[in-house]
Amino acid sequence: MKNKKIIIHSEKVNVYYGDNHVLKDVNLHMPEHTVTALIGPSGCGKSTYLRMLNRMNDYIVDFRMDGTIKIEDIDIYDKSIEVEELRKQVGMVFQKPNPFPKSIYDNVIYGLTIRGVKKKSYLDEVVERSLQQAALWDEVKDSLKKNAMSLSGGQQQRLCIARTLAVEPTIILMDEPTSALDPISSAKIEELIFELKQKYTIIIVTHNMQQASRVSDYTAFFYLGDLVEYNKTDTLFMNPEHDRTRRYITGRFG
Amino acid sequence: MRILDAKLHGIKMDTLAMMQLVQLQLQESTELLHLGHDEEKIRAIKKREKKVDKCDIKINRDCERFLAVCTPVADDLRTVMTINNILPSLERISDVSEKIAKFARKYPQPFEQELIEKTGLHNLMASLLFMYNSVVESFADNSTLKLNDVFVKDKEINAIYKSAKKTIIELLQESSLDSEKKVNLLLIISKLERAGDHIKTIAEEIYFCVEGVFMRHKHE
Amino acid sequence: MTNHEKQKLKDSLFSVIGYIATFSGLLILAYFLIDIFIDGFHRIDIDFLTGFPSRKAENAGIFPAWVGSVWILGLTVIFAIPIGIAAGIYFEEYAPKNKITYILEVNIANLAGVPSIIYGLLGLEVFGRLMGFGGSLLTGALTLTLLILPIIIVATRESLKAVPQSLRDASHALGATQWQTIWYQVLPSSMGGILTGTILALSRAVGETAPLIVIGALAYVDFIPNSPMDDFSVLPMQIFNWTSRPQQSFIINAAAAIIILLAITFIMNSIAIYLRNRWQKKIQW
Repeated sequence: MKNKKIIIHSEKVNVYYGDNHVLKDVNLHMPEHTVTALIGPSGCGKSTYLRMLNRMNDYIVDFRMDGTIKIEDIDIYDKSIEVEELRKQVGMVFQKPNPFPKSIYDNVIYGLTIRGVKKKSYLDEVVERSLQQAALWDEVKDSLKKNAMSLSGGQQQRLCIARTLAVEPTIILMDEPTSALDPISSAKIEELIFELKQKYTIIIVTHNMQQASRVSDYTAFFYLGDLVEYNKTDTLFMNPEHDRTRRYITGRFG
Repeated sequence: MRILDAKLHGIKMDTLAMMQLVQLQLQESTELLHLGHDEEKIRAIKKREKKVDKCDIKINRDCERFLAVCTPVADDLRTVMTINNILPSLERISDVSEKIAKFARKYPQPFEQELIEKTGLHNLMASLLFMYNSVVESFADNSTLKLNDVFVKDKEINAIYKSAKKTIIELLQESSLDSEKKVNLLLIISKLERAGDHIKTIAEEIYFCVEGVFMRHKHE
Repeated sequence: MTNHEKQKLKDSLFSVIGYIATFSGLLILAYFLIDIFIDGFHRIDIDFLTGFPSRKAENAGIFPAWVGSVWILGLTVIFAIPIGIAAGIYFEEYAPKNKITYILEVNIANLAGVPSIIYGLLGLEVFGRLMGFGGSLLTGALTLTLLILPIIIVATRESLKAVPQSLRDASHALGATQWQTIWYQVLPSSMGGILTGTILALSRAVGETAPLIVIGALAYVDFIPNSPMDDFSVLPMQIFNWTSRPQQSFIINAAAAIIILLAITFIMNSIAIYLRNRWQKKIQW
């Protein structure tokens, strides 16, 4: 991994839900065009951290944070930031596939529809390009008007990825994207992630350690709100620096 | 293509490259036995030996990394374990070649034609090269078709070694002329026989890799 | 008897009780409907539907009554639907979850249980006297709006609640604002439920009599209302009027009018069910 530019800088990030200190002093710097896996036992803060990056935690009632998170040198929690613009740049794919109950076509163009894009020829192009990138085009190209809910779980998740790609983000966040899928669909999505990292920066939260080690270039291990270790994936899995990391990845606890 | 296919392919290609280096080592060292002292060849063999050692370390590390990061199963797992297991054998074959090169430097005169013929050195070298070639091809093609020849040839080599030993002992008993040379020849034949054993070991590993049947220490 | 046998007995006992409960209700309803039909069905003809009330039962018609009902329905729709749905959306999607909101929510639910005649008195004072609309269609519509508003608000909220949070998450994650999420995703998904609740509320409004009497709907009109400020009558009022007469012929008229009222209610409920089913097919969770 040659010297890649760091595009996400997190410095001294603390997150509170009311009195609950959910993330403690997290410093994390992620390079572009890489896949970073966030691993750790339930409740360790990895999903919370992920959601900080596209400000989805803003919806939580007693959410509070301090520290800075800069994406491409811009502080994303600054008052002047428009959250909608941030989310164009930073997309998210969720654990349970959540396509809209509309046609496949309408699902993919949703991000553009809400931004007022109307030109049909352009939208058609975007749909084809996004579905191609999500490795779904061949399967659905003749039935774009079909309801998205009629697709299988794996296809729905790829549709959700296509929908995210349609707005041309730079960063894609994935919150356990394959935990609701069967092994074959999961494998397809992993291959997709491997392809996508050439153009995008991907951050994936996963419970599946084999998936984390297969798919990612860097891995961050969280435990009870602390970032315990952050390293190149093969180093972390071959010879972790911290004992806690070692015990987690060998399944001795958590 | 699966993610791990690319990584496994890389390791396999590196291994093939190392096998080809070792092939060159074998070839050139057997040529030295024919032609006697050839400084260029000797230097080349020594240089290549360093390369072979580097490959050994790199591939070994890559196999460990592959196991840690990709957690392979079934044939993927057998492939990477096989590669890891044949590395020491390859390294030792190259070692034999290097020792022959050292010998050639020390004793620049080649052996007499008569002596070579009596001991069957030519056949030995030819068999050895044939065995090694079969093994490289089997690895590259992931097939066991040529491996049986390897086991057969190994038996031949053992037989040649036995008879060569007998011949040389007889020659020594006849006359004590050139006794050092005769003993050296025996030592070289012995080393080549060991190389044959290493090649046989590699063949066993490849058989296991392809068929899933453990062949070590027993085969038809 | 073993425990298993006891449980099976309870099972069958409950089925039997269920059947009896259902069918006895239906039986009583069937009796009523058959009775009404026998009494009134023959009376319905084009003259009845297009005629004006008269002291002579044979000549009396329900034209102003059902036109008045349609007017009232139309005006109530114009007021109640936008306000009701908007309020529902506000409470469910925008209002902060604090004490004030909670108090408002509880009170709105309570309002649904207030007797309709109280709404009549409220309407009379505020719309009829204070605002000077008198006993007009406008007063009637506004009063009925207040009456069914809590029902529409609650129905809207329940439909919105049924939309999974994952849908809103997906929309937000793509950069939609709160309103865009509601307009493009939440509302369309919940429209089936909202419409069903709204139509049921409206079909109740169609049948309301007491509040309209209080605000001054007329028992006897011989004209068709032309504007919202006109006086009016409605079908339930006409029925009430005729059933208080001693003459048998008026009773028959009442029966006929009841059939028409039931038909309107039935049609509205059918539309509600049809819409709900159609929406259900479009949206499968």
